[in-house]
Amino acid sequence: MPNEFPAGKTQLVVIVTYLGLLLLLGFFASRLFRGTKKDYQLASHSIGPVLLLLSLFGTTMTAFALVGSSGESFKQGIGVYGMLASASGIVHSLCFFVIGVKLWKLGRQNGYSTQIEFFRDRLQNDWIGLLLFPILVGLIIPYLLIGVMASGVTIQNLTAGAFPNLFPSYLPGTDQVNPTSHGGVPPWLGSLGICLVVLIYVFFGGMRGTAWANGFQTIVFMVLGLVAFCVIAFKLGKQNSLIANLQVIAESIPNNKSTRSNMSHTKFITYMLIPLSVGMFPHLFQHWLTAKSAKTFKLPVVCHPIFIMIVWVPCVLLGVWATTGLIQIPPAVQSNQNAVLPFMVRSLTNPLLGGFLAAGILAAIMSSLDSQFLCVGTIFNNDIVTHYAGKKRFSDRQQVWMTRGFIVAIVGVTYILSLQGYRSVFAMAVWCFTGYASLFPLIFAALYWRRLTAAGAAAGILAAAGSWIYFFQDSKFGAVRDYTIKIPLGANRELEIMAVVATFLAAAIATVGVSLITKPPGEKVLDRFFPPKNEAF
Amino acid sequence: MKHFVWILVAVLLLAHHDFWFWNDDRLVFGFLPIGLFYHVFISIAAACVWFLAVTMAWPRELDEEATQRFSSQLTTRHSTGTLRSDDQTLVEEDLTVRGDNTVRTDEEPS
Repeated sequence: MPNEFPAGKTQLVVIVTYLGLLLLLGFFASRLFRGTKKDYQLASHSIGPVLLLLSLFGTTMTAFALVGSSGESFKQGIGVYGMLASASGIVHSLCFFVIGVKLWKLGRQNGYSTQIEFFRDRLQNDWIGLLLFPILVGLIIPYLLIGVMASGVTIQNLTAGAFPNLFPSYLPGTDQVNPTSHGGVPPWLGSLGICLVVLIYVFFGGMRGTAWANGFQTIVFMVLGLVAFCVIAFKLGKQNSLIANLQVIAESIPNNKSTRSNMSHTKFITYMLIPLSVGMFPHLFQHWLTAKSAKTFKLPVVCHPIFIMIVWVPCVLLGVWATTGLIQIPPAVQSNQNAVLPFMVRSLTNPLLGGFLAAGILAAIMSSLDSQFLCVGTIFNNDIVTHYAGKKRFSDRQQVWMTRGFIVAIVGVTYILSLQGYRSVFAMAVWCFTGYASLFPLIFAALYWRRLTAAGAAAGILAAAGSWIYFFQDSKFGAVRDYTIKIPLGANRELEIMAVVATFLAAAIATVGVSLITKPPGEKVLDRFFPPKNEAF
Repeated sequence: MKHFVWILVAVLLLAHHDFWFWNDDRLVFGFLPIGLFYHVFISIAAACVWFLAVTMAWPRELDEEATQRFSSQLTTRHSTGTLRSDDQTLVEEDLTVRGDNTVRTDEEPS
């Protein structure tokens, strides 16, 4: 029987079934669609606390959280958790609290759907939108690529063996079969399938379909992640109890992976700025606006750090366990760290569970892709087409169709770009987050500093973009995976800091400096954004 | 109390940089490297601090403002007889209209 129905095919059947379930969910969400632009883009502000928690968490946790974290901890050890997960637990909730709640309030009052609408109104300047548009969209493309590429790699690794004649895979530069991917659904096809499924449920379900799918997928990847962790622990440890297994495995972890002996202190500290990117993610802005009321934010603010812990601790431990020698990691996987988690799942679990776990990994990836696709479609429609052509020129229904059209286009572009080759999920994500974190001073000033001017904001955006481009090209466009800025201190010592420090400071200094030397904004506008009663924060 | 909460957030940010466990390879409970265990503790502490924040430093006027705004919109629409479908949606989702034409939010006690 196993010969008639190889392991890879079992996993493929589970993956396809899971994708079918998602399409069904999208279909039900589309049945509730009210036909208006507001409903398509913001689910008519109807999302309650539990769904908001799940959808915000699912959106922020992408391939980066599962595939990237395990791959990076395989390389760097347990320090990856502190560097990003516990830091995000503090900073993400901080952003939800001080940025999200306030933007929700302003969004409800003034009818925004996108960040650009907010900045145009707050700064009373049309050009600021044109300046922000290419940056916000340009930064989201690599973020989308992370998900699309990781889904392709995951599907290939977990379906290896299914079609050896149809999809052979060889080690680079040789005619030797690559055991980790031979016969698996190739990345171009796996990524295409994922793109199409996400496209379909976003296309028909809009924000409601996206939020429902995110909620469902968040539960799926959290539960299946924990199950994978326990199953792999039993397989690696070969003991009778979970604790005994964990203890046996832990004793085999190399010292440099169970400590941070290879990690720079200043790099670790300066990583703290990376999670500030959440304050400027355009797709998260849109999710914030779906909240039913301000109180809806309380649950996400409190539970987000715990949810991060539940997902990241097992992933980081799995990555570290892969270095113990209890499982042999083939050179092909060692050179492609995105494949560490899929390889462990495939090697150490049975085909059926492997299929479920593949679905869990794909769930984490798709729960971010959907929001990003919807967000880019919304930005194109609201900030470019209807903004310049005139809102009255198009009916609500026409705008829904235009948003859908842009979503189809951006999915197509992202898919084509994803075929261009492999990049480290972690490295690409960090560059993308660096860009958004550099714009954090702008959103913070717009909400809390009356003196911010349009010229100051433009200077901040240009400084962030200019410095980001400089450092990104200096890193050979992400090819230097561990790129940091090294400041010589003399006596062969140097300070190693993340590029985000420089880009963040450049943006903050330019924003404040230029705002102070330009004409302050009018009191009439300021009164709308800084009412005397509001002393909330 | 708001200041107390923000001091706790600052303490949390400082405590995050645990140079004291940097090269320590001890295992907590025999399986969790202490550097990882400490940061798990930081994650739980973060949730506790944010619980205090939403309890003690929550901007309550947001909900009051929302109620007032929707109430005034609704009154205007009713008085001018221009209750539109969009406003009707607002009523269905956010507010309950009482018999005396006052409104309350869904999360307000009945």
